[in-house]
Amino acid sequence: MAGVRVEGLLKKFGNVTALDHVSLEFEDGQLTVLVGPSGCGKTTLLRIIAGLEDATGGSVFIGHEAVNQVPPWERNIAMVFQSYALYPHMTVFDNIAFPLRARKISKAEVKQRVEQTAALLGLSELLQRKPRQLSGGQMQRVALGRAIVRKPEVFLMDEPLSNLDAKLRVEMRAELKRLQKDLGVTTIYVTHDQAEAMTMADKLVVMRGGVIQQMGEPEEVYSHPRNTFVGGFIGSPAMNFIRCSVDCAEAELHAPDFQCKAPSRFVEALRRRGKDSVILGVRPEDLKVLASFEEGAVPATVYISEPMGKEMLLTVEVGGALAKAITPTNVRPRIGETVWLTFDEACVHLFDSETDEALPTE
Amino acid sequence: MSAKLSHRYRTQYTYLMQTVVTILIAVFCLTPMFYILSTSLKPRGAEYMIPLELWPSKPTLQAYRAVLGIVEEAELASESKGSMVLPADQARIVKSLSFVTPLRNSLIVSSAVAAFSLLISSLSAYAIARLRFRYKIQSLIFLQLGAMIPIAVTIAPTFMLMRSLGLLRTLLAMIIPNIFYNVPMSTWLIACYFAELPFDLEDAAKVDGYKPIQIFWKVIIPLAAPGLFSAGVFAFLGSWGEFMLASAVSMGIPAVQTVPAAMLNFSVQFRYEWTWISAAIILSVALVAFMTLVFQRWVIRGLTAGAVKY
Ligand SMILES: Nc1ncnc2c1ncn2[C@@H]1O[C@H](COP(=O)(O)OP(=O)(O)OP(=O)(O)O)[C@@H](O)[C@H]1O
Ligand SMILES: [Mg+2]
Repeated sequence: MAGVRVEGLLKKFGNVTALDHVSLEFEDGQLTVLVGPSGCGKTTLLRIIAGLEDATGGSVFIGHEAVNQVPPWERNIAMVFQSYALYPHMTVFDNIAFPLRARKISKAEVKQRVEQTAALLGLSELLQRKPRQLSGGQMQRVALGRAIVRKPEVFLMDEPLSNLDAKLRVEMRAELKRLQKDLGVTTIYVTHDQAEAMTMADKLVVMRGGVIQQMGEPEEVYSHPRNTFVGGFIGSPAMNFIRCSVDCAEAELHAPDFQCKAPSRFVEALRRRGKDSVILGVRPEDLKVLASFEEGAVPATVYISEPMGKEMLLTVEVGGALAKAITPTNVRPRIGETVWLTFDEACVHLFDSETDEALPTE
Repeated sequence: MSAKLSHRYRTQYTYLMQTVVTILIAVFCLTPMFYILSTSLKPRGAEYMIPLELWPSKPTLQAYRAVLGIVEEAELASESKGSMVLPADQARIVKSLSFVTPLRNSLIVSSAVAAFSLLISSLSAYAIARLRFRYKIQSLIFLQLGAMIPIAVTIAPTFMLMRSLGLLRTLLAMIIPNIFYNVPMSTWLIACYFAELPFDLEDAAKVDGYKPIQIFWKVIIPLAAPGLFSAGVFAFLGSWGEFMLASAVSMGIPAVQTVPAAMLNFSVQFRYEWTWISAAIILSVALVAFMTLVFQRWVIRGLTAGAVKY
C-alpha cells in the first residue's frame, strides 16, 4: 500500500485547461474525496493518476516512485469507472476474475478470490449472468468487485454511486466506506454530490475549474470554508450570502434591510482591511425563524415553504434577495407572511467582497 | 374510427402489394435456377426429351456422381447407349472432369482470403476507429478509393506481378490479390463496429493489467465478433465468385482452377452434357447459398451497423 502525491499537475485539452498546477497529497490508507461542480477536472485528475491520460506538466508519485513513465497496466491501481465499464461478453465471474487473470494467479486461487469477493458484495447468485442481465445496482457492485478482488495499492473511484437510486446510494456509501476501512487501501473518491463527500471523506478536496479550492477534514471545510465558493458548495442547502457595507467605527454591518453587530473575532480584520464592503455568509441551518419580532431580528417575507419530513425548508425574501432557512415543522408560516430571522454571531462567515476569500479571524 | 380503419386498410394493402412484388421478383430470379436444378436431376440424355419435362419423372443423382467423379463402370456402360460420347472414352473423361478439385480449390482460396483479410482489416480498422494519428480521414478515403478501381483495370498489372513473383498457376496468385480486394470493405465494416464500443472498456482493461495488444484480442475482437463475422462472409463470397483473375492466373491448369474458372472449361468441354453442367452449377452455388441463408442475419446486421456512423 502506498500514498499518492501529485505535484504541479497541468493538463490542457487544446486551449481548455482541465487541471491548473494541482499539487495534492493523498495519504496512505485514507479515503480522500474529490468534490466539485461538473467539468472541474475530477475525472481528468483520476485518469492521470491511473495513467490513462498524459499530463501536460507535473508529476505523479505512487509511494515514493515517480510513475509518469509507467503505463497503466503496470501501476497496480484499481479503478471504478463512472460508466461501470463491465465487459459485456463476459459473465460476472469472468468480469471479476479478469484483473486476476492478467497476473498469472493459479486457477484455484482465482476461483476462491472471486467467490469470496462475490460473497462480500452479495453477488454469489449472479456469477453466471452477463452484465446486460443485471440491474444498475448489481452492475455497480460487479464494478466494485472487479476493483477490490485485487489487492491494489490505490483505489480510484469515479462517481461510483451516481447511477443508483437515492436509497441504494445511501446504503452503498456506508458499505463502501466500511470496505475501505477494512482493506485499508488508499482511496481517491470522486463525486459531485456534496452529501456523499461529507459523509465518506477522511479528507475532502474541493475543486473548481481545475484549481484546488480547499483541502481538509470535512468538518473543517464545513465550518471554515476558505472562500464563498467552498462555503456555497459544501453544505446543503447552500450557504446564504448577503453583501453588506461595513461601519468600522461602530463595528457594524449594514445590509439593505437590516444591520447587525460584526462578530468580535472579525473586528480586527475588518479594521485592518479598511474596505467598506463585505460578504456575510450564514448557513440555512444557522438561521432561526421567529413568528414575532425580537430584539435584533430581521424581517423577511415567506417566498415558499417546502416540508422535508423532519424539518421544513423555508425560502424567504430579505432585502430583495432570496435566502433559505431550515426550521422545525412546528413553525408553519404561509406564503407572503412576514417572519423574523435571527442568527448566532458565532455562526457567521465573512468573506472579502472582491476576492471572495474568507476574512481571517483572531 | 374511420381514419383508423382506412389506415389499417392502407397498411394491409401495402403489405399485400409488397408481397406480390417480392414474389414476382423471386420467381423471375429463381426460374432459371429451378430449371437448372431440375435438369441436374434428370438421367443423362433426358434433357433432350420432347416434350420438355419441367421436373424429372424419375429424379436421379447420377449427374452429381458423374461431376464428383464417383460413377461406377457398370452404370456408365448401361447409360452410354444413345450418348454422344463413345463408351471407351467415358471412364477417362469422368476421371478428368471431377469437379471435386475446383470445389476444394475454391474452399481453400475463399477461406484463406476471408481469414487473412479479417486479420489485416481488423488491425487497420482498430487504428482507424481508435488510434489518433495524422491524416486518419485521408488514409481511410485513400483505402476506399482503392476499392473503387474495377478488377478489370488492375488485372493486367496483377497478372504481371504474380508472374514476377513466380506465383502463376498456384492458388497463392488468387489468394493474395483477393485479400487486398477485400481489405477496404472489411476495414470499413469492422471499423464501424469498433467505433461503437465504449472507450471506457479499453481503459478498464488497461487498469486491470492488460497491454493494448492483449486488450485487442480479449476485449475488442470478441465484442466486434458480429462485425468480423459479416466481413468474413463478404470476403468469402466475394472471392468465391471471382472469375477474371482466377481464370487468368490459373492458365487453364485444372489442378489450380477455382469453381468459376473450372466452370468455363467444363461447359466448353462438355457442352452437350447439360445434366452434368447443371449439376456442377448447383454444386457451386449450393455451398454459397447455404452460407448466405445461415449467416444472413449477421450479414444484414453487419451492413446496417455502419449506417449511421462517420
Ligand atoms: N478528451 C477531452 N478532450 C477535450 N476536453 C476534455 C477532454 N476530457 C475532458 N475535457 C475537458 O476538461 C475539463 C474537465 O473535465 P473532467 O471530465 O475532468 O470533469 P469532471 O470534473 O470529471 O466533470 P463531471 O463531474 O461532469 O464528471 C472539462 O472542461 C472538459 O470539457
Ligand atoms: Mg467526471
